Amino acid sequence: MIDCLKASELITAYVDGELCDTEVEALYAHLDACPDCRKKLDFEREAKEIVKLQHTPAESPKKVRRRIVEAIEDMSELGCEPSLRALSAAGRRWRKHAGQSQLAAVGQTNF
Amino acid sequence: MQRCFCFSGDFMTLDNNEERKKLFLGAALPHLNAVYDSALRLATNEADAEDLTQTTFLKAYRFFDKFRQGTDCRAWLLTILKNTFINQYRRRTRGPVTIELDEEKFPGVRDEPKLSTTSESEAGRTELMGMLGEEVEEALGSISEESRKIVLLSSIDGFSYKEIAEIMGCPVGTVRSRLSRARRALRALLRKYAVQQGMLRK
Repeated sequence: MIDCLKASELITAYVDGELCDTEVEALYAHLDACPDCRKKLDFEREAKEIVKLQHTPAESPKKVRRRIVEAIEDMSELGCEPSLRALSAAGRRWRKHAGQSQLAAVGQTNF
Repeated sequence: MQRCFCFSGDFMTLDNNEERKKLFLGAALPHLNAVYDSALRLATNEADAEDLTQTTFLKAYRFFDKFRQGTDCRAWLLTILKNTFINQYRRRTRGPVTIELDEEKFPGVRDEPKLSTTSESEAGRTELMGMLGEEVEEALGSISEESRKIVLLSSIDGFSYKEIAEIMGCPVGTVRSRLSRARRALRALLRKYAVQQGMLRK
């Protein structure tokens, strides 16, 4: 049977759904016999949740939203399936607005 | 009749583009802040986060037909963001992240007291979470920047350990141990607070 130290390590990955079946079985066997680690599991769930509750997401600048919507309008107006050419055209407009250089990357299909 | 069909077919194409645009903007734009927030974690500066966010949304629009309606659009966008970052950005700008191997210091973490449980309500837990804000900030502030990023990539963005390892350029085992240590610190904090509030007794 695993000890409390090992169980403590496994509890984090368990809450994140990252344990393999063998590890889950080992953890369950330990938890059945160890009230302290069952309590740790409760706290672990709360610890994960509290990070979410505590976090205030950054707000996207308005210009980012505007550029995205404009680029999509452009692609939509060009008709048919958005193609590399359409993305490229949108990119030119985008770069013209903001001096961006990332748009070329959008055409790559590997996403 | 056939001509009419062809004509309406053209309109259908335009309608489809319009429909596609509407559907996409309706499904994806509400997640703009979440994507930008995550992009800031990955890129670490605002200009690059803006680039990453914009690229992510345009890629998503291009491949919108691959998105399954009814599934989690935010998760889909974050996957595109992650892959964009890994494929184009991190390799070019930063290279693999160096993860320090020295132990971090979490006071009291290794000596968690043996405790017995008293009954506690869900309301009590919510209250406990609500009152710990500053201390949680402090706990997260006491760990390294890389560990904090791993905690947020897991808890906020919902990335798997494998995905986090790809983002950070480190082994999955490192992600696992870092998360375990950071959460142990938060656990100790929650436990201490619960004892103070009489929700647990030593």
